[in-house]
Amino acid sequence: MLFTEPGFLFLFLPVLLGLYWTVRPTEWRNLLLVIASVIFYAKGGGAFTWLILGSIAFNYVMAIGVGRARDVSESRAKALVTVAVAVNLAVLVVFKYANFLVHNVNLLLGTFEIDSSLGAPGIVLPIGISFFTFHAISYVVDVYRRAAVAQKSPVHAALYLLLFPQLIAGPIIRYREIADQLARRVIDLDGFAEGVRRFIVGLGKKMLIANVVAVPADRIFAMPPDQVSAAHAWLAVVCYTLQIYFDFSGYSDMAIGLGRMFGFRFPENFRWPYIAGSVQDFWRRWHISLSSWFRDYVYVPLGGNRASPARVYLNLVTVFFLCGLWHGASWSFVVWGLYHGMFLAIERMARDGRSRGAERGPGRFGPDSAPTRALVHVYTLIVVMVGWVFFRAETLTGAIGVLKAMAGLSPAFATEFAASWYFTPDLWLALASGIIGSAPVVPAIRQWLDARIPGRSSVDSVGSSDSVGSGPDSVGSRFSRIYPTLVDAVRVAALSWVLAASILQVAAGSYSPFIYFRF
Amino acid sequence: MHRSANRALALVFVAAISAPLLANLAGADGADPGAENREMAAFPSFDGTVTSLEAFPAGFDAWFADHFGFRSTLVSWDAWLRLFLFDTSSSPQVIVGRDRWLFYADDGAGEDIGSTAPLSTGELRNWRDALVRAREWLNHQGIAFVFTIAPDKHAVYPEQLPAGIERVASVSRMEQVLAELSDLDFALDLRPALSAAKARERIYHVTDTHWNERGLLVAYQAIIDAARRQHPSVPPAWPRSDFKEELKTTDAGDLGGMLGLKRVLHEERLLLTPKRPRLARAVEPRGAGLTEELGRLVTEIPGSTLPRAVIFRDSFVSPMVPFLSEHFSRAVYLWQNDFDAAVIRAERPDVVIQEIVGRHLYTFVPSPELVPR
Repeated sequence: MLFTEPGFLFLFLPVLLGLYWTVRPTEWRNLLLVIASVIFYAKGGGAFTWLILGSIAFNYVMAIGVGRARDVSESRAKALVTVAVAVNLAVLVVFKYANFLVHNVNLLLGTFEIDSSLGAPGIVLPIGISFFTFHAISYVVDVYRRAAVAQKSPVHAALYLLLFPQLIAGPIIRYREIADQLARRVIDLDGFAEGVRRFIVGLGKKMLIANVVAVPADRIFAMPPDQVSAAHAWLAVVCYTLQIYFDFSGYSDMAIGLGRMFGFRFPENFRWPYIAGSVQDFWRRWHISLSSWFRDYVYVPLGGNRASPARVYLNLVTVFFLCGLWHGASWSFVVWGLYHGMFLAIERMARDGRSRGAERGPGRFGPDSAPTRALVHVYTLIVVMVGWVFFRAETLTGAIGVLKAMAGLSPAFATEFAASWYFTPDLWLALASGIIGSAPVVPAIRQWLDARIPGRSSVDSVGSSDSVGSGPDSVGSRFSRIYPTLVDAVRVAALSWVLAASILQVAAGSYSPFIYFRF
Repeated sequence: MHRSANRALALVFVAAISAPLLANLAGADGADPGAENREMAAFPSFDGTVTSLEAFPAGFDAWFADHFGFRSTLVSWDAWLRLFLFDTSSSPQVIVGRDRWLFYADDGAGEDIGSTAPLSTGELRNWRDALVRAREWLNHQGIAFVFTIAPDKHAVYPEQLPAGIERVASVSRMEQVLAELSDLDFALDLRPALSAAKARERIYHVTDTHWNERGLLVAYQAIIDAARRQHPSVPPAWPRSDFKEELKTTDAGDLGGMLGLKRVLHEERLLLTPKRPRLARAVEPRGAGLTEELGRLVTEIPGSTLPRAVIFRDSFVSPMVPFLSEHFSRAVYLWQNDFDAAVIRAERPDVVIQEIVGRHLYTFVPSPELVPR
């Protein structure tokens, strides 16, 4: 089930909220959430629900075993955690990568002219398995590392692994970040409203921006590459760059908002990635829960930053190879991962080189000058956008075709829909909102306003502030008294509008008519 | 935000997400099968087996997605806003043209509008072979044969298409096929007659893919004239003066329905009521409406000695059936583009008419081997 489906928004969520508020004790609420999460998964996952439930039972038992062994024997604990991680990974590999592996083994044997009789297993991918596996691994490893205590309550363990807001698409939440909240959390109106705000923002990002810019991107990426002109290619890549950010961060916003509605505080997953000043910075702002998972469970065990420079570069490339592969069982994802790994290694080399080299004065083109700052942002954006071409294209040849078109090297044979065809008013709106929304514009405006309204304290304060330094009846002081209410009114109005427009899109998405009657 | 603002927002949100479900519980049904032209998802059954348990969540979700409260209202509001604020279509199957003329983009029409893939010489030859074989076989039995292509709206009114769509090839498939068949007497090119009529009045609907009453009358007359040339005992086509004309504003056509605006947009229709009574009745299925979209429709004029006909057709002939059926003592209408020798042998008609809409030249390949030697 997706958050943007009518079945979730208009049925699952209102019913669950109603039950959740009616039921008082936290343990009953936890049980309710577990049952709801199973239903949530079952809708999309069908029979795979049994797999997930089995995996929960397995990890629950293993974590307790590791926790107990930790106090007795280091080697026993290590063996247990290795088995747990191996089994979890094996499940992931079989279900996600078996087809890919078999296909590539066949290809490889084919080049040696060995006729392999390996049939494609035709395995179906259980929804959310990539996220689920990483949750489970982080749980047992954290218990092993004594960063967390194994969960004795099966309901709490199930709740952690199954919690529906993050079950299918993250954020990847570490057990220690949430362990306390499983047993104790506050559910009140202000927290609920905070969750609602976040959810609506995410819903709007997905329905009003991501889905709109997806239309040209999908169409153009489906075209034969030799028909794609430079205009087409750039339009598609800009659209996809916005689509993937607003889709993914929107979904994360919805997950975080939903969690908050039920009293949970989830960590942030995105932090304005497109204003990053380097690829390294980008990865501190994009899918933060994934990059930190890879840092803590792969990069650091491989030696982290403490290894020799050459080893560090290799580790970076390895981690990003795996990161690419995690996104999908296809060579274009692997290339995308390696591409980012390569740039990270290069940037690290440059940083290492600069720190060893002579001190450079500020000057006009020093590291902090405006042209340099602008240049590093442009560099990062271009690297990221070119990376998205590999991520999005179905095949490597397709990706190269689009890149060639971007450089103006495509034959660009005549095609039915000119690039201008895609520029409908709603696309213009989505592009403008998307580009502006990729930078922290709203927070900046709020800060600017806050600094100028006399005597204002933060907008989230419960009481109004007294103006300081102006007469009590001056226009300024009157304005600063109504300012918080004004801001609130604008926010509620804007959020309501976004909710209404998004709901219209959700309904429209369920409509699938035919021209003649179909049974 | 302050408490009162939080309360307001929470209220708005809960009200918004609960409204559809509450509407359903109050008995409302958000589905509008008439507009979507399909069977809406049925409520899933649960018979106690594990399989039905596994399938229940997905089945229920599918039911809810089709039936949730206010669905058809929300769909039409979205479509209306898109159409009137942005001049864009809310459906990938519908293209909004100039003056809000609607065009179909699916079922081969999208490719046809852009002429993206002309027929090869071999494919054209195949078309010619299939039709010439059919002609020869029918001729051998003394049966007249008329073949025609019904032009799509975008072929007759390309000037109403929106800017930004470009023709890739210089000829459409319809133009190619008609050029290939231009020397054959049984191949009827409707374009000249339609062009002449277009100069006088609008001959296609605005919110529908098909020709309107004015256009179909012209096409019907051309088809009957072509049949008469080979089989003079077919009565002459009824002229426009044989009809009473009445303008009526109705719901939108099929394209308006696909947008979810069936009852929001309107179509101006010309109702043609014949001055003399019509004699043809549906005998298969008995009592059916003559313009219904049926796989097999048979009309008869009781006690008539007029010629018999078999007509291979699609939806462009549907509104024409009441007109055509007056010329034949028995007319068998088959909704297919394929030639069917078995039916012809069974029916032993005097006239065979084969009609295909232009965009189906992208999806249909004739099979000459279906025609017996």
